[in-house]
Amino acid sequence: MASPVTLRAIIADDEPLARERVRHLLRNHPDIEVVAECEDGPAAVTAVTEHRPDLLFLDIQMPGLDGFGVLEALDPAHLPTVIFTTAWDQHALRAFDAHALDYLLKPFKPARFSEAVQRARDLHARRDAGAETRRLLGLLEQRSARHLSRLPVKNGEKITFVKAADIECIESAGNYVVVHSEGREHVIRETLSELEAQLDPTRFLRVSRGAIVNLDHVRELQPLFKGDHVVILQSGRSVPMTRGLREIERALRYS
Amino acid sequence: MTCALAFLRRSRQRERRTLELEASLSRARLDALRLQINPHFLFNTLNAAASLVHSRPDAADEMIGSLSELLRASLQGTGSHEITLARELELLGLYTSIERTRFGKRIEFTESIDAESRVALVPALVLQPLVENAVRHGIEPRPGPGRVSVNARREGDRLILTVCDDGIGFDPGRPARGSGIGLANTRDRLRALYGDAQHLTIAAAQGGGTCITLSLPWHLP
Repeated sequence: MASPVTLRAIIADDEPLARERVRHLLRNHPDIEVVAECEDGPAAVTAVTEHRPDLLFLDIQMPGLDGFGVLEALDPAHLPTVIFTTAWDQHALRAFDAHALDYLLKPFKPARFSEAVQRARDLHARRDAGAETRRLLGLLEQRSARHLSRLPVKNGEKITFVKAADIECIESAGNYVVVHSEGREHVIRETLSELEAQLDPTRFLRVSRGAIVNLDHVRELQPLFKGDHVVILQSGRSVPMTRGLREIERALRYS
Repeated sequence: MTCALAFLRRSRQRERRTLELEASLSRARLDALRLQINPHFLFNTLNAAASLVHSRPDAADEMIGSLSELLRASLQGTGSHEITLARELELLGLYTSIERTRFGKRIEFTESIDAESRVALVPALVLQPLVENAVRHGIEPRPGPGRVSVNARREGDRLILTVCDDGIGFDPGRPARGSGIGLANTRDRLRALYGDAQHLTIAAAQGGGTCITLSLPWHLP
């Protein structure tokens, strides 16, 4: 399956015909876009710094600065994927030391070239997937950072903190809420809706107009008459629910 | 008495075998020294031809023909070790035409040859590695265009050949790119063919670059 992602590539080789050959073979790979061509080492360093390509086809013997010199001169944080192209294999070991993705011996067969390009594609798909996962995790972290991790409660003159994870359930009592946690009850002057907005929605579920339960503390759901159910918490407390059973089951399954 | 004669005969046989062996070793050595087509040049040329096949098929055809003729001359170890300078310049022309196609205007080749010296004998493929050295070590490492010039003239009983480039220049303190095998090979070959009757000198060229001068005994086929 062709990848919809375009890889941006630079070709660095001092021989015009060698660059032409790479360009020609890339015609079979429309997802690789050549953004620059360079005919010597210093030009390659400038072009890579400017264009930040995904992929670099790099000849080893080049005027001014050879292929290894080019890699040493580049910012290690922004190194592209490197495919060395060279005519003679005396440099192979050094190329792998330089973490080249591949090493093509000129003149390479089109099939061998395609193989190298596919490796670059695979690597970038993995990298992109990794980057995407990290981005999502980052978003989730930001969101959970906005969620209440500790609830301040007044205890006489003192203020103590109840960990969100330790809250079993919260019941509404007019303009107040009662927070049940570790066998104790804390009365807080806040509405249930205000508090609900601050809690992590993947952990806490409003099961009725008057109650929020911590899904981690749910032991079972018991049927009542007429299709209604009641939530039984691990502490044994029962909380009536008016929300659909299926919705709660789903929330429990994925929380 | 018979014992002494037998000993003498055996010793003479040994001596003859040794001489035969030395001669064949020296031939093998000369043959080996002659195989000087650089793999780097060979594979880059094939790569260039693979590229030209699509864009300029006639140029690819020409390049493969030139390369084949050059390879054949290089592999002909059984033939004569010496050829006329005229033939040597033909072989050099195969090489320079390939390099012109590979590098375009980046490398310019010029020749200045005395008409008289064209008939003189030179070691086969003696110039090509020297010109290739000038290209690889003098001009290729440096951005921008360069020139390599080949000169030949007679000086009394000597044939003087020079290969000069206007490249990065010769610095005895700087380790040569590659192993310098090309030049060492040339020295060994000249010594094997002419003994002490030859000289190879390396000097800085006027205005930068390097000049290699060969002084060979003048002789005709």
